[in-house]
Amino acid sequence: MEPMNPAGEAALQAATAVHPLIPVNGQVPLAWYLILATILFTVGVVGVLVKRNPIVIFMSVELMLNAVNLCLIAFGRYLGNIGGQMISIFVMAVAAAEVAVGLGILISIFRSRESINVDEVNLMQG
Amino acid sequence: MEPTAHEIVNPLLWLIPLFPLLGFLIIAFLGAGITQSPKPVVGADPHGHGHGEEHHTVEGSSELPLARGAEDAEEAHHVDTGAHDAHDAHAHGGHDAHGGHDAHGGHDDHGHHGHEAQTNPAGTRLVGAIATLAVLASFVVSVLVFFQVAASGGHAGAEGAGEAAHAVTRIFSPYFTWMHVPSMAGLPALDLSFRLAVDPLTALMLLVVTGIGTLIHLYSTGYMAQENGYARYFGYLNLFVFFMLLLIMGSNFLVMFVGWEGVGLASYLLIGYYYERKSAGDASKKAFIVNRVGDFAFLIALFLIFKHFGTFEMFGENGVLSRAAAGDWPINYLGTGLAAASGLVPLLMFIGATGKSAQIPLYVWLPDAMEGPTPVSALIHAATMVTAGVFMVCRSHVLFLQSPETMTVVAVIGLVTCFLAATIGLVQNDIKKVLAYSTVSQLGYMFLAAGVGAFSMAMFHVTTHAFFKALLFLGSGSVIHAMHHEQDMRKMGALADKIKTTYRTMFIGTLAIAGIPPLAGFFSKDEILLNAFLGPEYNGLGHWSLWLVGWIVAGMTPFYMWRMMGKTFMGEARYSPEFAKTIHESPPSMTFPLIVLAGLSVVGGFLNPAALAAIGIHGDWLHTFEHFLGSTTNWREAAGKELNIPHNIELGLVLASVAMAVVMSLVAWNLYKRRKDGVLLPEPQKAGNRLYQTLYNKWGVDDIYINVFVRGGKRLSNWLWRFMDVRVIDGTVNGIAAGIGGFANSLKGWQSGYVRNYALSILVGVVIVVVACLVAALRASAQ
Repeated sequence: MEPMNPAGEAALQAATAVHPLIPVNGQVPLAWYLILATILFTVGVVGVLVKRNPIVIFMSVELMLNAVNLCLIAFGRYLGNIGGQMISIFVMAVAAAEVAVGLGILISIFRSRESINVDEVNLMQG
Repeated sequence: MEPTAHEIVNPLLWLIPLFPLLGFLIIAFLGAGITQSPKPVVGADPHGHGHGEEHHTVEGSSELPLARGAEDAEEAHHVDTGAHDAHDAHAHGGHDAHGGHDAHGGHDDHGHHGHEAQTNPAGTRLVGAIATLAVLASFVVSVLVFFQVAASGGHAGAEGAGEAAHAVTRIFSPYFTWMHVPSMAGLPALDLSFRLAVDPLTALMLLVVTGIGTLIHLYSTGYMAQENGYARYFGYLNLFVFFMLLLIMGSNFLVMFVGWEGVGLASYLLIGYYYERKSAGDASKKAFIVNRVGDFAFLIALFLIFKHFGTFEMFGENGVLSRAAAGDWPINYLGTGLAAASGLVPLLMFIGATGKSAQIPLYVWLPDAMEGPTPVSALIHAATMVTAGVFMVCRSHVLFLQSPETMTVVAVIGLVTCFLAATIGLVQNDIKKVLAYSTVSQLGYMFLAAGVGAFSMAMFHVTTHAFFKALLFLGSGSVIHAMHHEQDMRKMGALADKIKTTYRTMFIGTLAIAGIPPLAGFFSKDEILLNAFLGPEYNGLGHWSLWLVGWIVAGMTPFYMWRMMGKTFMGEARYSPEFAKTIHESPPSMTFPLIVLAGLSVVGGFLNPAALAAIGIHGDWLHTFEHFLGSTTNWREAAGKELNIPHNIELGLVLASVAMAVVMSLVAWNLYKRRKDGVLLPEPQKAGNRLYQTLYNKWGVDDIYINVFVRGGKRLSNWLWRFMDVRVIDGTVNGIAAGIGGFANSLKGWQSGYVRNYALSILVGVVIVVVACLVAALRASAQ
């Protein structure tokens, strides 16, 4: 994307004035980013709820996180705020740590029961 | 309370109830120990110790619960007191061991193992002496008080003029305030105090209670000599005398009520003396419960009295009786303003009296009360406790006079009871039951007298009845003692030669109760019948129908009494000759009271031989008793309503009474004297005879009570248990618990342990939060 400049921003405003979904002057409309992020997030949510394999669940969680990252960066670009990108870096770091811990738990569970079907981890039932 | 000229304060009054109370306390705490004091052992017995559990079940507890004295133990089995202390759980003085002792002549213990009480005869004599002397001391003080009352102008003579002549001397004890609640919020002050008062009426009852009490204590030392619970008996007997004295000496209704309840308690304890017998336990419970029903009514009456008068005191300017006499009387108890409602208090008091003095409908306990020892029947159920109701009515006669309707009720119930009990007494086979029903019947006479306004004559009959009924009961006790505790008259007979003193004294007693002049019963009964006959035209409150029924009962009384005498003493012996050899006269401790009471029955009537006026003898001495009681029971003088007794009516009634008494006596005596088997109707005829069966069945009253009250009560209890307790109360409590449990159970579904559900719920929560924020933001931006 092109960096923002006052002239460019005016051109952007002019361009999006017609409809948020229509590209103007070759610029990708913000809405497309948001729609993509939503779709990715939804897919991720469905994956977490439906899948039984914890590894796939982790992947879905990553998908959700990345959707959020996309969203953050898109907003950062279009609002001229570099904070979006900063938070995104944090999110990626946390995601990595989380996966590490999660896989550790997964391996521990696998060692004790030879199966990683999350439906079978129901000792807290009752 | 300022004493007036006729009121004296004498602190010695407290001695009168104090002596029996001390007797009770001493015997309660020490009696068991005294009667079973340990003796040193002569030698060990190879039979070993069989005590402990064995004698607990065999003999039961023979001591008052207060005094866990020495347990009875089989004789000759005691090696060492120390071993027994370890054996027994009670802390006591060790066991009695008579084994080889011949020093105790009181009982035969050689070769007897196990079941007899090992009492210490010296100890039992001591306990008996303590009890008897306690009552004797009260009697002595009562005599002194009596003279003080009599000497200080207790006579309200007709020649006296003005109010002073009608006033009686009243001796008070010092006032002791137990509880004082000051007046607040518009309610009157409540002053509960203990004070005793003695006026002529009380003095009379004091002499009767303590005098006859002493005689009966003396008799009991002989009669109860072989009993296990000797100390317990005398303790309770003294307790009874104490409460009875409180009842008659109370100067306010509360002290009287304390005594009232207390004698009921003592009666329960004594009727149930042989508690190992189920029938005795049942009888004592019946007596107490039936009594309690009456007490409930009495209590309501007391509450109403307090509500109107604001005090419980009987005497003095502020006293209930004084104010009622002066006309301060409520007529609006039920809010109706009906004059009849003013009779509510005396009516309730009379219901209380029916409970205590065994009238309809609460008389059913008295025949069953014969389960107790015979001296108890003599003292409590003949001479003293059952007369408490009559005493109370006479004491409160002012209240009763305010309501003619209540007086009618009293007279009619008294009369009906008199008749009913006499009919039942005609067919009883137990010697004590005959006397019990006779007591109920004679009490009916007393209430009849009270109901027609002849309160002093009611008290006179109380006195004479106490003499001859106590005599008859003690005599029957002597017979029972001689017959080795056989009470069924069908198994007696031909005893006249064997127990002469008993026979002769009982003969005198029967003459007295039959109303044969010049013995005591004739004079008192005749006065009652006279008062019952005289109607309003003679200033009386009676009616000829009252007299008629009373006269008929005066015929039934000799009949059943001579029937009793004939069956018991005459005819052929209905027991084996071997048994006949064991029959012997009672010891002097028992025959002495009989002789004294026989003497009193003979001369007692001359305290008030008013009937002699019919044959032309006149004089003030004919009415000594009445004058002595003065205005405590004599209301006619003050009200100006002296009885106008025409001479011919009086003569006619006297002749009718005498004729009836003599004729029925001769008829009954001859019928039963010659009967060898002592029965009038043979058994098969009895079974078929409906009248006989009705009478024998006590008119079905007991059955009615059982069916209505006992079974009804049980059904009510059952219903309350099954429905109210199990379903309502337990249902509610358990239901709440179950409800909470069910709710918790349903919540349990959330915890499936299913990770994906948890993830879903996180998602749902997130969605809700986001939507909420959006809505809030949209609203904020829309404004």
